[in-house]
Amino acid sequence: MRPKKGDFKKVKKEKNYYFISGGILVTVVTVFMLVGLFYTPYDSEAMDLSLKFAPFTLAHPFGCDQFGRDVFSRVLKGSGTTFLVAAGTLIIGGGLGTLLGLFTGYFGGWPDEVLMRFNDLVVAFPNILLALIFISILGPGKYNVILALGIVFIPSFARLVRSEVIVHRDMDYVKSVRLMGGSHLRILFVHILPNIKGTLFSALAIGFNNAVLSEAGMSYLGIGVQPPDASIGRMMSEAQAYIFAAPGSVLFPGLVMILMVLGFGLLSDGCSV
Amino acid sequence: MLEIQGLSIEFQDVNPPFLAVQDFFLSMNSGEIVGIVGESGSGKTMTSLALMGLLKRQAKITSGSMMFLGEDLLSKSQKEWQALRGKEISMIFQEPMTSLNPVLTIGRQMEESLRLHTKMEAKERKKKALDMMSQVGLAQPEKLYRCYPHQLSGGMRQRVMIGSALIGNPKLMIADEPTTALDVTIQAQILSLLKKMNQEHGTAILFISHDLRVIQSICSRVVVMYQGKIVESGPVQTVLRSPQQAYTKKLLSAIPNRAYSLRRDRKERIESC
Repeated sequence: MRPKKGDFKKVKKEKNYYFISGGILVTVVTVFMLVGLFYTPYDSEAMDLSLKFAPFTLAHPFGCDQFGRDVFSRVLKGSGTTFLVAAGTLIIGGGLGTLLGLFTGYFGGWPDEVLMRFNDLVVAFPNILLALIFISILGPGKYNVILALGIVFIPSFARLVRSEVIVHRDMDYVKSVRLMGGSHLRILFVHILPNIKGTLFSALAIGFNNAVLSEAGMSYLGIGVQPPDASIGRMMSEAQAYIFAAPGSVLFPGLVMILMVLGFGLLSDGCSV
Repeated sequence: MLEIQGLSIEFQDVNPPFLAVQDFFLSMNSGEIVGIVGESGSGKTMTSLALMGLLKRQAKITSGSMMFLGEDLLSKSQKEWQALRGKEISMIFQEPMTSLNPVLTIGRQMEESLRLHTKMEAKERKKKALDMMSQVGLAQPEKLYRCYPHQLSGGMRQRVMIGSALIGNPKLMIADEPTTALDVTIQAQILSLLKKMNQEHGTAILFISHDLRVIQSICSRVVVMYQGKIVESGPVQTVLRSPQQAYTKKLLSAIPNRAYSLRRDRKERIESC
């Protein structure tokens, strides 16, 4: 049957299972982390040697570690720290990277050339090595890790956003906004940015995973989050020697990290579908 | 209203400089529809871009003057241009399929010009947009308001473009081949729409086309351009009925004649038997 005038194609929305399952996982981890910010059953730093390597009990569901600290409380606190580092990294790296990419991609010219060659320079180094160099200059600690990882993450975002902007800047719809009297800034932020947000979100989700893994890696190496602060990587690194005596203190932080990474990975897939 | 005198535009990034438009004259009264006709590369679009202040950096206006509503356009700053574009002069162009932003709703894009040039409230803007949508012959404006461009056909999109160009009530609209990408029946509809908007709003239209039949059906006066120069100008009927210049005659004889081609088709078919 011929569609009547004014009948529009209905776009059938399929259920985005990646997005839904990723969303559920991320929500679970986020709730876990938020609870850890305000409430832990025990003080995450209180030691009690009588509980050293205590097995899983109702009082200590994840057992206790080598200093008799409650692993459950530490995982609650530690996932918060890890989350904070990853989010901070994304805000610095993703934010600055996106801005740089928007401007260099849209305006081009010599600033674009200079920044992109600098980008090449940064990309030529392995990420972890570069972060190591920054840490050795700044000194270890939670906030320095955020700063170091943030700087290291800038180029990948700048590159991605730049290539997307280049596709869009010569499109007719950009021209028509120009013809209506829109300024360059308005075109960039109101008209081009919404067009690349799908790509940007999925890159952010992947970036979050990389940040979580980088933080864990750096803390594992002992240059990230410093004791007695708990972070996922820190806990795994400390508990490694006692993996058979107290498996819980390696297993549960690892599990939380897997959930976090899997959740954001699925979200990213969901965004790009 | 519009007075262009001796306008010359030169591309200065090639050696020797390439003269794209040479000694262009045009005067338009308010409410008038004037056509510019010529083949690709004859300087029609360059002229219209100059009128919008959107010439590329390499293209320079070397001589001439442009007066619009008693103001000198050539001495305008970037800011002044932005205030003028979309408000006093607007432009639509060839590609209705790509000149709308794919991720913004139709309503949002109809209102863009109002957002840029007026301090209207959201409600008022919406009312005006809906009103304009029904004026340009879009059925069910309420429904369409929330639609995205991909849900619309080419003809509907061109109507949206026309609507969003006219919503700020400009004095002059430049239509750069607005019907070229559309099929013949839609072409006729769009042309009569332009005529109707011209009569109702008193907007002068500078109609750029390479299609003489289209020019004939809509314009009162016509300027014929060839290689950047005006070859002939005057009232449409005079120029097209009794062309004085060789190029205009050639252009006219290039219109495929339906009766002739039918006869030839038949002849060829018979010969091939």
